[in-house]
Amino acid sequence: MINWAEEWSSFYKQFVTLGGYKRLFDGLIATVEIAVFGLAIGIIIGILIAIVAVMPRYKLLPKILDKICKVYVAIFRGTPMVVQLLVGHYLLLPLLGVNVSGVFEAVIIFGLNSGAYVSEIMRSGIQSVDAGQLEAGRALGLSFWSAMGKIVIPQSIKNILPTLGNEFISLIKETSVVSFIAITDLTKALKLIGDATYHYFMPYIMLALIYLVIVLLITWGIKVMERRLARSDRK
Amino acid sequence: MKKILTLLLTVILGVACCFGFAGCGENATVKIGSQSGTTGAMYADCLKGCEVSYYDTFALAAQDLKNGKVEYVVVDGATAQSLKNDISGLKVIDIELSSEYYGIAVDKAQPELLSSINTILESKKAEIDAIIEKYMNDDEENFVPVASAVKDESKAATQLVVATNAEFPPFESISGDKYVGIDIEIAKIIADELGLELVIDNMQFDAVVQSIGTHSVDIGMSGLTITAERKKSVNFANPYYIESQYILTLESNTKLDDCMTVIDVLNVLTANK
Repeated sequence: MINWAEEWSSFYKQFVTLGGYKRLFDGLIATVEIAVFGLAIGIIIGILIAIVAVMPRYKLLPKILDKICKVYVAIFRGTPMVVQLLVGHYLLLPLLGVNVSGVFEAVIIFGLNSGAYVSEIMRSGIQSVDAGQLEAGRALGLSFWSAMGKIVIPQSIKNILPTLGNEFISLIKETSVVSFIAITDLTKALKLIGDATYHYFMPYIMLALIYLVIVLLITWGIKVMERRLARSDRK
Repeated sequence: MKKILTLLLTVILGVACCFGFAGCGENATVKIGSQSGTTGAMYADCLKGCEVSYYDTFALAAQDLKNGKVEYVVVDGATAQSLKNDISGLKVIDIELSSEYYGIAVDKAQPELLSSINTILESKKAEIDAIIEKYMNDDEENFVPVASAVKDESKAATQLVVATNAEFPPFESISGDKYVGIDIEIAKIIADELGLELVIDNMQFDAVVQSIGTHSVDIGMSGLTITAERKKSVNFANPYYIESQYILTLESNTKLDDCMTVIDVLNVLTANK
């Protein structure tokens, strides 16, 4: 049975009296930092790959670039996040001989990982726009790139933005594995508070609630965005 | 809408770039690594102005020490020696940071088990001392690997389930499909004396005390330091080993070479604050 009074008093002592909340705050910042900047890098990589994916195929250069992107996407979608972190931290970084802060390292790896997913989101978003739209633009005398930029991409953004929000949600939740490479994120911070007293009940409940609140906030943001984007839809 | 979006994206990317440069810059704080949940981690935690990284095992912390991600690792003495022997280019600073006793943690619901373990520790003292001696001398020929039986809830009365984190040589580590180490051999003696089948339950270090507290294992032997906080969750048998915390660092790091006492070490480590 759980002794509520004891669980609460030991948690209160660790969290408030001994200043554990500072640890939680630092962890929360690390988690948000990794997810936000990871997604930012992911969007850049995703745009680059999506551009390559929709380029016309009759020249040699797009073919080679496309192969490279396919390999990249296959590697990052085909291995678990934890494995990418471990390989990056204990294998690649020492090999490259660079010394960066742990959070920065996680941002890069999460960025590379989400780049693979975001590129797929963008590619499918662009391809979901009817092919006739591009053909019509080309028939009116626009070049491939201006037809893409002025006709296809504005329409595809409507499909892409909400899905990007979902990617952000899954990224926030995935950051809970960064403690594998000794980063103190939200999960690790609350685990440490639990470790200090061997009372894990309150810290873990709090951990679940914080993630839930963050995700609900993002979900709400996506809803607002979807409503705004649907304003011009035919009813 | 378009302008706002572009602006937002530019701001995010701009901040990301600044953040990137900040990440590359040399950080002034002293970086210390340790295994989470250990006495070493708690010790490092108390040092003002130091940034502590919590690893799953000491071996990973030592690996990052070698890769330059942390400057120092606070670790139990015997393990420090063992890591130094296994990973080249490391040295142990020969100053005891703090002294402590290792004890066997016993489920609070089994007081009779606690008293019989204390009796066995008393009667088999010579044997236990010989085991400790042989591991400290790295006498690998005479190490006795111990196999673990399969944990079976229906045979709970005839099994002694020992929680350990087998990544802590020379106290416990994995040797092929068996376990080897001081704690493992002592656990074997206890199980034999009690006439029980020995089950070794290998888990994360943080989970050891926790699982004894929740009665899912009988005892815990994982180089556990007897602390007041742990005593709230488990009972401790009489200590079987006296250990100290030491600092492990790169051979090329000379900052601690002139230190004579703990105070000197602490002055160097907390110099920034």
